[in-house]
Amino acid sequence: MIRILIADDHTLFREGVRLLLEREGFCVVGEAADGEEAVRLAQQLEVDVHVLDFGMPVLNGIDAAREIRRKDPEAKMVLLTMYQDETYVLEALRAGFAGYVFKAQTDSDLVHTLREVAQGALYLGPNIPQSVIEVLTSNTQSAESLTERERQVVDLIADGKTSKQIAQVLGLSPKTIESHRSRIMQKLNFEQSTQLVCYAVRTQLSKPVKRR
Amino acid sequence: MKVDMKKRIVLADDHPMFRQGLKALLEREGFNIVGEASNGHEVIQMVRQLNPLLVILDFGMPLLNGIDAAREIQKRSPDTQILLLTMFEDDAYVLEALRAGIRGYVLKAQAATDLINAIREVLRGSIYLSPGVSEVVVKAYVTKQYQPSELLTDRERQVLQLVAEGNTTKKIASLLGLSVKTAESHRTRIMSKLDIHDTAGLVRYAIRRGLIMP
Repeated sequence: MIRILIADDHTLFREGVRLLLEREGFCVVGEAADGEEAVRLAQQLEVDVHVLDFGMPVLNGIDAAREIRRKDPEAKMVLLTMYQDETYVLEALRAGFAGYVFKAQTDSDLVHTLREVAQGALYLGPNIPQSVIEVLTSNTQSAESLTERERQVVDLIADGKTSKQIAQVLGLSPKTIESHRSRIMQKLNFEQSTQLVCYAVRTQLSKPVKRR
Repeated sequence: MKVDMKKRIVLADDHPMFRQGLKALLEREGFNIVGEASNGHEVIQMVRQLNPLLVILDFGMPLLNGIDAAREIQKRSPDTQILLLTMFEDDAYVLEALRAGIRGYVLKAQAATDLINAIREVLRGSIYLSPGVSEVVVKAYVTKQYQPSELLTDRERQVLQLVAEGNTTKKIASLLGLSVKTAESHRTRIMSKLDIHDTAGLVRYAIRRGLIMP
């Protein structure tokens, strides 16, 4: 029987997933409501696969995974998330996740992923963005990630600054900022500026916070 | 599993995995899930067709949020009780929710037993507000200082949500059955009311208010 640890801050969601998994013959050995609790339980319990939500208080799923991996390099982990941006998928893979499931998928997708990962596979379902596969199969992984300057621009966008204000803060011309923006949009495969704003706010929210 | 035909429920949430888990939990308690919807417009139609005893609405759904969907459901299907599920604890929308006809307000961070409890209370005609949330209402009542936290009309809020989701004015007009010109003037009015003058600002406002997920 495959032993599972579930970490998600929404009890209702956790209990639902637990019931679905138990029906499929999995054994849910623990539940955590935040990233820190997940790290602690991962050490105390015998777990075959850790299922971590991305957006959790105290410590997000990706940073929790890094901790779990540091203490147990063999740990198998699946990320559960609402976000399909390739940057998150790549970040998750770098953090040691062997599976990635979107909350918009179904429970059978989760079950399938857990079985594959439990056997030691790296499993990315059919919903994985094509761009991720392109990055994974090319040798130019770092080429498409954002530069430090671009990340600064993203941070300032999240703060609600206009291009003009960003230009002032960074001591650049508004025109340069505009070209950074369009380069970022291109790298992240965004078509609309609203996508960029959402991305920026999300990135800011996901920065490691120690306390709520 | 015993299924009581009288306990007919429709579920609306944009995440199938959450819906399936919820469905399994409720069926275990003898409720009968007769329909599942993934956005606000879909659930309004579904409730009208299926006429369930209760509908459980997620607050943050694409196209139309749970509270605005509730308002429509209350109008068109007054026999159906409405319960809202939300992630937001200090939600400025609690009073708004009550006015929209929502009789149960449950946080996703609560346990299944709390939800089941809330469902039973709502079906008996009571109002159930999750702990924490109920303080907002009591405080508002006691101080009588409650100012509508929302400057926008229902229609404006719907337009705001669609703008923040990245829809063009033309698309918004067709989704809401308005002329492009009317949609455009809603947009202008929203910006002047909120004193926000760029789309990025509207997106951030919508995120803060929980209308869209970042």
